[in-house]
Amino acid sequence: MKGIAGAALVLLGAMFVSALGLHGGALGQWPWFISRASGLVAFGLLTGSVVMGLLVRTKVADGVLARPLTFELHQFLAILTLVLLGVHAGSLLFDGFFQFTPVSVVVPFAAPYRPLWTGLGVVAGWAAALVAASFWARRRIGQRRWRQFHYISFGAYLLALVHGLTAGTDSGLALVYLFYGSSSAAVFALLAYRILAPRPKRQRVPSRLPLGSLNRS
Amino acid sequence: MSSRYGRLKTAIAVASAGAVLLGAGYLGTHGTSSVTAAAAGAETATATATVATAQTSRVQAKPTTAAKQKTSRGS
Repeated sequence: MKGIAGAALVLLGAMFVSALGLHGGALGQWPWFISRASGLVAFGLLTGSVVMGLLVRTKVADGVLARPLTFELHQFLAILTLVLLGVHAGSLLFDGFFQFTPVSVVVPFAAPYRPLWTGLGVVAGWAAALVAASFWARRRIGQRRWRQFHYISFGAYLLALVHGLTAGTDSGLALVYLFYGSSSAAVFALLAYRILAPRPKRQRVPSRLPLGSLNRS
Repeated sequence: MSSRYGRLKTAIAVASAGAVLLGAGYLGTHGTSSVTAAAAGAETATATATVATAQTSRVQAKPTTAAKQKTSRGS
């Protein structure tokens, strides 16, 4: 079963790469539509990653989902988001109308299409990449700093949302609008819970028991 | 990253790839193309230049009525 799924993924990837290998003009508007679709899927995955991260922190889903699974999905979705962002930006290079260059898809505010709003998306992408990379630097930088650094992910999510709403040509579609709405509702509801809900106080266990505490019998 | 929950991760990856292809197909019929987006006022210098070049070539390809008359008179 796992092999079949893996083979299907490779096949889909091969189809996509071979399609992109064709001349941009021959592909017509398809790179544009693939970019839009992969952007929406990337946003969905980013939503999933942020939601999973908030579920780990708030412990809301502890009775339903095992914490290791939630954390594993949080990491995995963050990395898959980057893969989809690569497709989102890479397919623009093959658009038959707008002349995107490798520089204009990685440098903020250098795009030939709505530079400001596209630029916000580029910044969001870099921020998401930094947060994903920090998973590997966790031990080196320490738990506290890693957690502080992780707050960037909320900025990345917000910028991605603004980018999608302003630069996305299909944001007016009811289905897409519903998608953005439900995503932001889930994230902001969990974020509000994270901020407002009373946190359980940690019971500090003294590293050393006071002298005489064991001799009470 | 550990290989725990590998099947679930593969399923998510495959579903994402499928969603991109299906989404592209849907947007291909219901969405806005880059040409339409540019024509709607979102065009930039590059897009404008492309349109201008296309228009110029169209004008050059079609001779004006005056030019046609001039040519016929001259012959």
